[in-house]
Amino acid sequence: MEQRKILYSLLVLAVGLLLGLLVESHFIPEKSKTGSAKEELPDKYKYNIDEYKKVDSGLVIYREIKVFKTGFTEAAGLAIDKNDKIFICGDKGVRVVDHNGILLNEIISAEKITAVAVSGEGVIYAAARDRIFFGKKDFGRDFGKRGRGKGDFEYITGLKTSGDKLFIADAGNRKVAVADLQGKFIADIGGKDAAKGIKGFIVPSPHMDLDIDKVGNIWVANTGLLRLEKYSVDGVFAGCWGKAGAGLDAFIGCCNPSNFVIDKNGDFVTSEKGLPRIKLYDKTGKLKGVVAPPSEFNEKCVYMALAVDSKNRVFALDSVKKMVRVFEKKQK
Amino acid sequence: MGQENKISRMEFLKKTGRGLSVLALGGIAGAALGRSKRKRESVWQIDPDKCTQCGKCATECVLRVSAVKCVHNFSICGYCNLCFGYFAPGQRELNTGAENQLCPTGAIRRRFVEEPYYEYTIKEPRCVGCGKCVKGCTAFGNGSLQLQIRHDRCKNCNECAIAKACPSKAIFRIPAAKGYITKENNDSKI
Amino acid sequence: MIAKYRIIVLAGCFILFGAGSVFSSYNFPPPEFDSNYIKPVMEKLPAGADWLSYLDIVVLLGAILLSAWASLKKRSRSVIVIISLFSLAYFGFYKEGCICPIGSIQNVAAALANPGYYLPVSVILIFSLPLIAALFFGRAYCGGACPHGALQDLLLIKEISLPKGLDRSLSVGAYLYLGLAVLFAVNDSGFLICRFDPFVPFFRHTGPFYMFVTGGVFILLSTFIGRPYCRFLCPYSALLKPLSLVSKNKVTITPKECIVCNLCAASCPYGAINEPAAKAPDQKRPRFFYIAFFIAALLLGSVLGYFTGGFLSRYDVNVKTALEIHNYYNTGTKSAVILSENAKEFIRKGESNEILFTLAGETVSHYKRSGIFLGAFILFVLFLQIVYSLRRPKREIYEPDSARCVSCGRCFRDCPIHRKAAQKENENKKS
Repeated sequence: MEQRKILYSLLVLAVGLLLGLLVESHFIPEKSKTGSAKEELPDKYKYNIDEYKKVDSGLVIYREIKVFKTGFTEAAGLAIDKNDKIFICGDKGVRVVDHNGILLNEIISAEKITAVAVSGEGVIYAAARDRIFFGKKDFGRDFGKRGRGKGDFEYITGLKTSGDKLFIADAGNRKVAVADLQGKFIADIGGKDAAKGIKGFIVPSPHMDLDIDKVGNIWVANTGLLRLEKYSVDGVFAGCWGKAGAGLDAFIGCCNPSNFVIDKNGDFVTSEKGLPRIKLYDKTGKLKGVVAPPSEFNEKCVYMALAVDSKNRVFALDSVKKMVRVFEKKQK
Repeated sequence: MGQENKISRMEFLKKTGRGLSVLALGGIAGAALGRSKRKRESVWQIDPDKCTQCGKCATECVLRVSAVKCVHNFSICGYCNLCFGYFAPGQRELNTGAENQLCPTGAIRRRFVEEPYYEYTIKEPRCVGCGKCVKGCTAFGNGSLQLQIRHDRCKNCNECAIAKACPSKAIFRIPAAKGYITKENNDSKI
Repeated sequence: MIAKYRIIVLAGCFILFGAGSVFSSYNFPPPEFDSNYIKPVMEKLPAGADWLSYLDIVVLLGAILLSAWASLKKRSRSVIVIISLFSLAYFGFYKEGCICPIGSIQNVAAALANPGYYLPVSVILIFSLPLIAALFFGRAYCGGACPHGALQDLLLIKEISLPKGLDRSLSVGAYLYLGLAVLFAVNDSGFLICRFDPFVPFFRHTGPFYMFVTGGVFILLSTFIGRPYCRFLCPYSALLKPLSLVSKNKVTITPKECIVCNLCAASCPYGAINEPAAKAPDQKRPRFFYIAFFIAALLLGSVLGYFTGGFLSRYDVNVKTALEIHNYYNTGTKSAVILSENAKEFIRKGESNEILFTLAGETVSHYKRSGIFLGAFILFVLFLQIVYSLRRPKREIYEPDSARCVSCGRCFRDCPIHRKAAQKENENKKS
């Protein structure tokens, strides 16, 4: 009698286990096997911008010709001088390389360098968040301090020199500061003026780039309004272009373009974060083509700083691959 | 005589065994405690800098509605007009119409502050912790929307089911006194 | 009042250090508002206070001591049932089973292997209190304080007794499970005991499907097989058994002298009552036979363990991902390889393969090394089991087996001496 009971109980156990295994192998989706209780999330709960990643290959008018390592864990900025020497800045300072990525010079800094520029005389200007170091071979001199007043900085994200002036895009203070090449403060451009109802630059995240065109106008990315704004040399607003949207000709997201540069033809090369892509616009804001479509980048790619050399090739920082990527216009 | 000897021998063995066991237990407990540099009560948290919003938090938690929800860290929010945590990427108009909203459960409230700033708040009961808005906000904006384990919901399981399933290993224990990890106080960054 | 002070102090700190400069990792200045908009603060509901977990320890200790008192002094099954019901309600359904002494084994093992692991003092106490209690009162924890034991104990309707041989061999399962759980815990591969706990999903009313299946099987089984989880799987019992063997106080069936009336023989649903037996005929094997057997077992165990360890390492997430990534890059048809979420995430992040491979390699070799200990441990347990079963000591009375008795108090009622004593006590109380 006892024996039979044992037999029954073992049978029940076996049947139970078999049933469990059967259900496990047939009714639980493969994806949730690692111990999950529920099915995978339905698609409506997933963030998907794949349809905006598609770019017609005919619109891509540049091709990638080479890449080289930045040498930084967190590269932030890029500049090219008139001799086509490339200046990369990042967590450890500034590295000067030739167009093949061979190191020519390196200036080490304890602080992260957030932006870099070179003057016509070859003086390197490097912004460490709220201070600017400068010098030809080292950072012997510096100016600026953390603050909200005139000549103070909060979070510098863009630097450019033009003639005898240095232009500083301060994303933290939401303004562009102009200084002479020795660091003496001259003026602010595009500040907020509550009395006149001028909102100034809307900068939700630490991305604000600037460049100077051939005529000497100052172009600033007003990222919160998703447009590029033009200011005359004396800081007067002189127009803008750019629209928000998910389409190819528009700037996507809350705050783009994250970086831009004016090339030798006077066209604008822009880079966007979130949906990483590099595009080419003419000076009126008409899309001319795509330099690099989103499929070229890891989706986490931000800080795609841009620079253009004398041959009009586009140099772009890839923050995920930690590379400088070089694009050249396709031959027709 | 032999019998008595045997009993006392058994007793002796037991006593020694007991003594040794106490010693061993004390040794194990002491060694474990001594080696462990963190002896405070601890809770599970998500590292917002490692989180990739894969969606596992919504499905893997042992609770029917996950203990992980979206929380809004207002202090780093850009108050964007065109918030990509709120609006679907292909939105037609910048208004609160359901077809423009990203959140599948309508758990985010948008409120005008001043031109051009808007405030976004999470309606906690509606949030399922899918992380869709967090992904949009992190990719395009500052990532002020973040997924976090809410202590009022978390059962503090010894082994967190989401932590095991997390492909980024972004979930770990922190001292209970610290409470919550935000992007500002995150010192666990690699 | 205090809260107000705190706000002032905090505000002071803010002004002193400037907004955002306190923490360096994220400090981009937010927009400034012209309107008098006040920013809301991020919602942060607090975690439970530390003292709450110490309260649980006090409750646990109380339950163990009460259960010990009920099984050793008071000798009352009904009191034990009441404690069981309380434990089931409090530790089981109210606290939802976490953290329990069974699972704490893994925390202690992980802390021993990895100094960076969180091991609160409360967890060490939860781990060691029932074990220390076992040295003095036997398995009092199992009898009344363990919600898992209580659930199975209360579910037992009509028991069947398993043959001794089957019972003995199945109970090796507990040691095997203990060994595996420790192996996974020290290698940081997860907590097996928690992941496959059969009763926690019932305590929580929610959980993965496979947990409900195993839980259901165990609940079904425990209606006719006494405490199947405790006897054949529970890794904590594997620790409690040897400790209660040398326990100072033991549960006895009878309050006074056993009259060998045979009435209690069938009362134990867990096969934990040893019957009187004559000493087995002397069949002395030479001592070197045992020693040789012992050494052979250890060697065999180590070798088997080494290879088993290597095999088991595949269940580690890192190793699994590394294998997948390796296959992915070494097979020509990449599209044909179905990748797990972890592997996809790894590729998406674009991290270095070499780092992953070296880490995985380290894990595998660590698994192999700890596998040696696992194998030796299992074979050592088997060796002891065999030696134990060969031993036939002379026994004159019915008494509970110290290791297997879970102090449930069922046998008391079947003992005529106990009944008489209880009756007397009742009469004394009345008069």
